[in-house]
Amino acid sequence: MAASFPVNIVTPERTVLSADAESIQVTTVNGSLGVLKGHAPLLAMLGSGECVIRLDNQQVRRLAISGGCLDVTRDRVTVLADAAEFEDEIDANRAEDALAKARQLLASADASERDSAAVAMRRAQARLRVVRGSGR
Amino acid sequence: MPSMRQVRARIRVAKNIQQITKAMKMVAAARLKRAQDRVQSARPYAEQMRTVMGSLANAAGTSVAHPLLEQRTSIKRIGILAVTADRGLCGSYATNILKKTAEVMRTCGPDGTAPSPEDIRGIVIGRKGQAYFRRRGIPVAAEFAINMTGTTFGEAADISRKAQAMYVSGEVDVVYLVYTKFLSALTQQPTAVQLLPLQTETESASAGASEDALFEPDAATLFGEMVPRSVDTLVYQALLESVASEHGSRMTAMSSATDNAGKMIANLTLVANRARQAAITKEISEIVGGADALRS
Repeated sequence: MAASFPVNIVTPERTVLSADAESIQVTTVNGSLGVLKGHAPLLAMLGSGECVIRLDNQQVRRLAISGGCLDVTRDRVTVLADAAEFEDEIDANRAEDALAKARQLLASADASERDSAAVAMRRAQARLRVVRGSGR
Repeated sequence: MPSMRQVRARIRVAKNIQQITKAMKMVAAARLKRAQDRVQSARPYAEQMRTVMGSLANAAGTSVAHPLLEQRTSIKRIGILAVTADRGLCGSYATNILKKTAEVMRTCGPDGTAPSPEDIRGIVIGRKGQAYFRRRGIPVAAEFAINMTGTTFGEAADISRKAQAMYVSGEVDVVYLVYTKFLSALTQQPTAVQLLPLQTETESASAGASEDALFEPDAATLFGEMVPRSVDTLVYQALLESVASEHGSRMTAMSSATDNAGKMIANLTLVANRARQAAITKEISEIVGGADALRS
């Protein structure tokens, strides 16, 4: 059994998760990143994406996270996210709608709106990936 | 002495008012509970944000500048972000926060002097504040409504981004945030803090988190991303605390109003009973007097 460390996932509105975990995997702006116990101190900017946490009781929790930052120190890991939802909290239909709308906007929009549309699209995709993934 | 009918009518009125104040008190109490929970659950994020900003500021040192951190030497125009109430019937809550706002206006100029009203730009949340600024002829750059039942982070970010835009564009050189700090259901404290330029706490001794941490993508980019967000967090906290304060204040005010109505009803009932007794006594003495007159 691997060593565990405390993980906190907080959003402006609430504490989403506070538990001991063996590993956590998040999506940063530069791609996927995994953290185990003893990781060097790190601050990373998060993109929109999936976050997978293996708790110390071998349970695996999956979340959709968008924006914010990851703070790794010697003894704990904190995720400061703009939004974080567990797989069972995500409304797949709504994410589907949001994705369709973002795609449409991306196709028609000018440069100024393209950025926000792309962000919205990635956010919707991340949610869908988490929801779909749980069905496997 | 007022007639019985008049006294009875007043009792009825007092009872109606008491019913309303009692209902408002209970609504405020229920909402206060929720607002308090929100304040509580928003705290961890704010605290984490502070530590992250601290270690970022340490690691980045003086090499990283951000427009929201830069202190301006000459302060010409002052922005005031005031979180006030939309509605009355909450005791001295609205008055207190406006008093604090007035105090900031008197002392926020260079060297603690009062700037002229044209040099102030208001960012006002809540109708009471909007009326106040308008009456005094102080320019209002933006107005927002306050969401009493569930302020979201998005709403706070909208307000905060407006203040940041004003600061960055040079429309104002400093921004003060005036809000009501929630201490308990009974005590709330109007507070004024400097919002922009943002003051970061660089206690290098604390936590020791600064030790050669890795940054991804790099410290400057992270800083640029996190500074505005940390301002949003401050505004969000201020909004939540203000909402909780308003509910607390309203609950206290309506509670004492209900008590006062009860006292008034008791007094009036006494007066009514006395009037009734007097009337009965008078009637009896008239009958007795009449009977005596007939007998003799």
